[in-house]
Amino acid sequence: MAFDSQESQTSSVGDYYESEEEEEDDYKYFEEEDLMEDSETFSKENSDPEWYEHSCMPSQEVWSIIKKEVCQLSQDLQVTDPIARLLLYSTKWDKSLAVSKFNGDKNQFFIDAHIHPSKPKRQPLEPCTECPICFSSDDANYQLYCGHSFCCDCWISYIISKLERGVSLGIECMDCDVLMGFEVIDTLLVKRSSVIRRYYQLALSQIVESHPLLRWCPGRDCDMVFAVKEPLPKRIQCTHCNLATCFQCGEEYHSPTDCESFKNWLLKCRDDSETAHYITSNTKDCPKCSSAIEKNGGCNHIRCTKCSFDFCWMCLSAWAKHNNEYYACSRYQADPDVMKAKVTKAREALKKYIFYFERWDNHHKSLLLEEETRFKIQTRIKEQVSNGEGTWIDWQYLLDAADLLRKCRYTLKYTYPRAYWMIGDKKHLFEYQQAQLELEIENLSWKVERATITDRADLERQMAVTEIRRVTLLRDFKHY
Amino acid sequence: MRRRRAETDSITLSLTLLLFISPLIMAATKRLAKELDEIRKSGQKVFREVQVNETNILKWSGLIVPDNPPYNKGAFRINIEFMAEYPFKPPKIVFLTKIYHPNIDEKGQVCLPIISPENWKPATKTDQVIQALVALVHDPEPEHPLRGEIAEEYTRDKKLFLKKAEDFTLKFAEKRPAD
Repeated sequence: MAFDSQESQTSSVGDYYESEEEEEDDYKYFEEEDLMEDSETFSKENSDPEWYEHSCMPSQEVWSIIKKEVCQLSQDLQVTDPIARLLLYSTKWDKSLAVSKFNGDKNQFFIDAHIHPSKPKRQPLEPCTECPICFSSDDANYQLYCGHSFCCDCWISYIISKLERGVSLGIECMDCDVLMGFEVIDTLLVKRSSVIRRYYQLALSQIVESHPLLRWCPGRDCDMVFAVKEPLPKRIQCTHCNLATCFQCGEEYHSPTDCESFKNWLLKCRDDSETAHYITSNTKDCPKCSSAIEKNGGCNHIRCTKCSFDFCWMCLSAWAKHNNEYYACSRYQADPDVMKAKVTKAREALKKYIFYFERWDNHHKSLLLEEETRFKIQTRIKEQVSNGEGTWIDWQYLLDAADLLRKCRYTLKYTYPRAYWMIGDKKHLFEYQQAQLELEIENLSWKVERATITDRADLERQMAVTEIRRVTLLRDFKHY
Repeated sequence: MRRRRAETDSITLSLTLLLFISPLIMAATKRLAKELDEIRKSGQKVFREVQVNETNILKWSGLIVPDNPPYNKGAFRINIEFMAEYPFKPPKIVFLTKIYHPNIDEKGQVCLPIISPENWKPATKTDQVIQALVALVHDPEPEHPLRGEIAEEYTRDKKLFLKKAEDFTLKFAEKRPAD
């Protein structure tokens, strides 16, 4: 959309904007570059379904992107830069939407964008010298485009009070809904550098948050911004803090699960996992109303506090069937089918969740262990090399194997939330592929731990097979 | 890094604000004195008995005397509190008299869009705020209620609402001024 593919000559958006000054002297040359890049993109995406074109830059570089977008629009529409910026702000930096709205009802667009006041312009009869806010007349007045005029002190106090509330780009006139552009802020705050710095800091933050092709790195105290050409739920990695996240939702990278399901999964885990574990291991459901009951002592004669049903904790059938014999519970063997039918839906759902959660958690723990494995391999290689058994380069494949193992295990971990929410026929195929991947990963893990120089070929074959399984699963079950 | 810088900047900002406060209070005082004067001169009947704390012009009280049923059987005392940063921050209005109204809660807090921090315009005068408040008292807005049960009653069974509100007014509201 905003990053025109016809013009992008480098793979990195950030680099591209830095080189914006370059003249487009040879058109043919550009065309060839495009073709090359297109085919490259195609092949990269084909071989690696996780490949995603993105760049990572210090936040201040965002200004050059915004400047570029504003310039393009102001040239296309023949308006001034401040107006173009306000138009883009109103369409959330969607250039094509801005152009189409501009070519439609232009007046309405300007009102919607808060450039023109929604009520007709008020004509001041005479230039009033008294500020209508503070009623003093000793300060110079400043008039906004809407015609409202107040003294500079009032304007400044107003801007500060808005900044305190975290509002920056959205600061409106003190009387109507016309927005104050950067040039107004610059003029008014010319002598107040700390306030102006705060303004632009907030503005930058707001721009990145509202721009569909930009995202803050979610890393702790990280000041980097990601720029992409197309917003997708794919993997982005910060060049500063190394955190890998999903561009769309900002959570940890979660392919092949989609953002929505993953969010629900995290929510579920946060709320339920401990409680759910406790419930499954310590409670039984009332056979009549299926509320979960915890037996914390006493005899096996249970009366449900909810539905007042009397039943036996052992066999879960009505207490009356025991014929007043104290604990003569032999009925369980007598008709187990009846009992099975009583296993309620709620408990089934819990069991299902626990099943997926345990696997998810297991792989999470294994993933942490793989880090240790990698470290062990490194020490082992050092030992081997100092013993004169091969050189560092000869053993490099072991580290590669450990990295690949980590990558595959990561994908496997994130298949479980997807499987949990999946329904229908597709689920069988997904779980089949998941099982295949799991099998190969365990094989790889086993081989990595016991690798010696003799079975290098075997290990490398295993690596290739595992990666193919992973890529196939990702490609067959795209999450976007 | 971003957050830390934001913190230091907000400290500088509050410092800047502190330096501002004294001229701000002066500005607020000047403006409020003028507004008070205008309101008293206007002699409107729906909002009267405007009293201001001798030592503190930021605290006003007054009497709302509605014209329309069911509230025209009484009068309602309100407090208006201004901040030192007035008019850059909106005033706060609290009903001292109990009132049965979808937009005014048991504590007397009122949900008036014109004085919400997001919508507030420094150019808005207290008189306009009072007019908006009176309009809200006359015509409740059940779509954004503070008391859901009254709003539901207002939309579902208006007769019952009117009856209850009138009883409530007769029981709790102040006496209306003679004229």
